[in-house]
Amino acid sequence: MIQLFHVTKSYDGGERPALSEVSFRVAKGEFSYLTGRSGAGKTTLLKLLFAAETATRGQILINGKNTTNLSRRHIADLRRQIGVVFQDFRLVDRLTAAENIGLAVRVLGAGTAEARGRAERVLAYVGLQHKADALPPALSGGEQQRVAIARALVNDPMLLLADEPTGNLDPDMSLEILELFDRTNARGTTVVLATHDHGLIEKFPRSVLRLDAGRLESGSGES
Amino acid sequence: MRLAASFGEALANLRRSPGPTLLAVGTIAASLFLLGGYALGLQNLTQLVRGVRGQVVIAVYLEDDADAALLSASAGNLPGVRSVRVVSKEQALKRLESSVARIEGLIDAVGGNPLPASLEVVPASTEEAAAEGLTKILAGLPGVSEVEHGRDWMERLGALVQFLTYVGLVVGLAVLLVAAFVVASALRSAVHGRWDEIEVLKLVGATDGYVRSPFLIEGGLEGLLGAGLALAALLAVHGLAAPRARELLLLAFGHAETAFLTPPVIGGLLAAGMLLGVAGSALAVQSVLKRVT
Repeated sequence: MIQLFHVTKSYDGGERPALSEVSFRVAKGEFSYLTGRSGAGKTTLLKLLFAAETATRGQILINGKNTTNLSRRHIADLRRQIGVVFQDFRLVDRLTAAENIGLAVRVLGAGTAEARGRAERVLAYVGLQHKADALPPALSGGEQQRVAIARALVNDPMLLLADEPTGNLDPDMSLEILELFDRTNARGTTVVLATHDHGLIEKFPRSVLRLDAGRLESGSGES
Repeated sequence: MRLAASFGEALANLRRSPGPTLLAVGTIAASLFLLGGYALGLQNLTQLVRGVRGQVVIAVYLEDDADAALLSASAGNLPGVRSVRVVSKEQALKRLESSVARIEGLIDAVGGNPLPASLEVVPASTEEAAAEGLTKILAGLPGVSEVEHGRDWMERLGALVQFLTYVGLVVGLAVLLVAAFVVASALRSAVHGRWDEIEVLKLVGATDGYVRSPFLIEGGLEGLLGAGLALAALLAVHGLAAPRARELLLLAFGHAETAFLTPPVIGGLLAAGMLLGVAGSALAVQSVLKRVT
């Protein structure tokens, strides 16, 4: 599903590359953790995967397609097949939970009614069917994160990327969110989850890609 | 489906951010009021020139011993002459006295009526060449001292209209350009207010066109509204000013016709308003899109 070949990412003015010669592969249907201390390069790596950044050197393949230098149009196509979840949820406060999720459905050309129906179904999947008309500020952190996950899952993506999705949540809520990712992975979606919470990794042990100062210290090697 | 959704979003956005919307609509209305006012003035000036051209009279001044009745008959038989009217020395003096106050003393001082009798010849055609040809023939008649048909004055007025048209085009383009940037800056705050939504849309795979379309529709609607307001204001000003303008024109040119903007110009102003709104919105949304990956 994901293949990286000697990927380096440097930023202007940076002392060292944010990522250096990173190579790995994540198979289809696999659940992988991306770990490392703050500044290790986890977020940069995820951004490269959903084409929010471009690699300085190296090649990235998602589902067999080279995504290293995509046009804006092709980036949009790629992102329709990828769900992304962030630590800060990235919900639009003036839109209801269902409308937030509906944004992802309507981008595919669906009408309001279809978007609403699909949003309700995915809200039921994450256990929030009763919160469809709630605005994000009226939801708890855990609920907001579940809405964000619902938005990421509503179009049945082949790949789910999550950047510290439990970073703002208490331990119980973090476990619930991890169970949701686990359940989603069990349905066949490839999951890459960036976290520095080793407790979670111990409770839900999966393959681990460990980054240190932009270099891959352990994990799936280049094939 | 997508267009209807974009319209819905555009209307919702207009309600959500009335401040920037009012500023944009006001800017468009003010710019188009200026342009429309200029066009209205120019259109009426052009109409005036055409009207005055249509009533060109060639003044044929006669020598003191010339037989006015005979010359009038000769001139009336010339091809290309619609009508001839004799203005005697006395009639000429009366006309002068009615238009210039306290002239009696002046007439006495020059030792009697110095004005010549004349013929007022109206050509059948308003074409410059025909009037010029007729002027030459009339000047050759015996007993004629001088002929005037006001061609220079008409040419100058025609050239002025042409010059004002060019100036209007250049200044109009500059006004539209400045207005587009003002509208863009007014709408930028509205677009920036929806930065979070644009970020999410890009994240879930929206193309730039998808993000842009509701903003462009919103800009187009604001532009139409601004143009409508400008036209309403112009109509009101025209309604108030036209009667007074007609009085003045009648006094100055003996011709008084005023009209509101023609349908093509009204259509052009509405289109310009829409274009302004769309261009302003496009600039505003582009400033966000280029920073959202």
